[in-house]
Amino acid sequence: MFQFPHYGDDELFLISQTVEDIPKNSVDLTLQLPDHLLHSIFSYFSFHDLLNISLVSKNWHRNIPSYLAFHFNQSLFHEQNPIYYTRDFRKSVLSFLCAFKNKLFNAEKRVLCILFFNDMNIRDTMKLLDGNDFHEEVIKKLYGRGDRTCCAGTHDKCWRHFLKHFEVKEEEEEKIGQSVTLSSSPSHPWKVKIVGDGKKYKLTKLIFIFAWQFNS
Amino acid sequence: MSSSTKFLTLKTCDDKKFVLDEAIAVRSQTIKNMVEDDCVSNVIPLPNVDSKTMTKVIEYWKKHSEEGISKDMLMDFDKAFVKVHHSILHALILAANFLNDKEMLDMMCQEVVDRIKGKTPEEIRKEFDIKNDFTPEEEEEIRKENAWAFE
Repeated sequence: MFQFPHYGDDELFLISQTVEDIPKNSVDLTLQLPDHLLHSIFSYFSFHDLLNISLVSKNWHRNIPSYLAFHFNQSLFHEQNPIYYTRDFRKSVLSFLCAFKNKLFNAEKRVLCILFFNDMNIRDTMKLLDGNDFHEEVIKKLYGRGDRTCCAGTHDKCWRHFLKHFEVKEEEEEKIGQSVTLSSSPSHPWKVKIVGDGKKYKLTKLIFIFAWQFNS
Repeated sequence: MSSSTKFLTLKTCDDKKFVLDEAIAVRSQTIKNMVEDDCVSNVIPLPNVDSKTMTKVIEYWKKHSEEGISKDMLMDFDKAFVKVHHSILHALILAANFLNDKEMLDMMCQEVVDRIKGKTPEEIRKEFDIKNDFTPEEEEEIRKENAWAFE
């Protein structure tokens, strides 16, 4: 057994975990985790996982971020001239986000997840991002400010001061061609469907996650 | 080894002392700040960490400070390291947070994430010994709240 140097004490510190190490009355893991850790743990999850998490206990439910998932299907734009479809797709995403501005503003903790279903070349989607600072553009649209000059010290701070987290995740998924819901909510039923053909598609999902918070 | 190897003494909340090479201990940003501010004349108290948890932390620090250790070996070590009972995982997260070791904290949080992913609420509760304190009505309310996303 490995032993650490010790001092004035004959205690041996054992490395490996034994059965006795496990406390009998273990407590809710989250009750004692500081909020910022809980939020950082919960920020890793997809919307579906978050729904499960919110149903675990009241404490977990209180601590999950408001999570708004929007699904955009890029393949809907492939019918068009390939030169324009990424541009048009991008436009439609941004205009949709603007339409949802109020919902985003009212969410207590804002985490926005954008899924790009892309059955074409992944590079086409990446082109969408290249040099375009996509996430900046989205938030610029939402908050109407985009200048890079820092506004620290003023009351009217720009979004950069509130953006806590941005990341792009890539996931692959096999999907059978069927109706795809673009988005919907009780107040804004807004759906586009593709008719299913039963074929298997390999979809690359690019998930954009923005998390921002106005008041800590 | 450099002749100027310095040792620090860390004292956990249950009054156990650990003597550790300063070069290893400064993986903790908290300890590093103390050392840089020159306020470590003798013993560094760690009021938020118990000795059992600190033993694990030091095990991790030592392994990650070993010279010539391969990435694969470290990965195997990390994999085994996080496979502990959730109460220990919990204690390690709090310790890594207090000691401000971001690398370790991220790894432990990732493990929590992995244990939750893809599980039903009931399975998550079982994994972490959590009591369901919702009434069936409250549960239904939350499901309704989120239903729009699954239409």
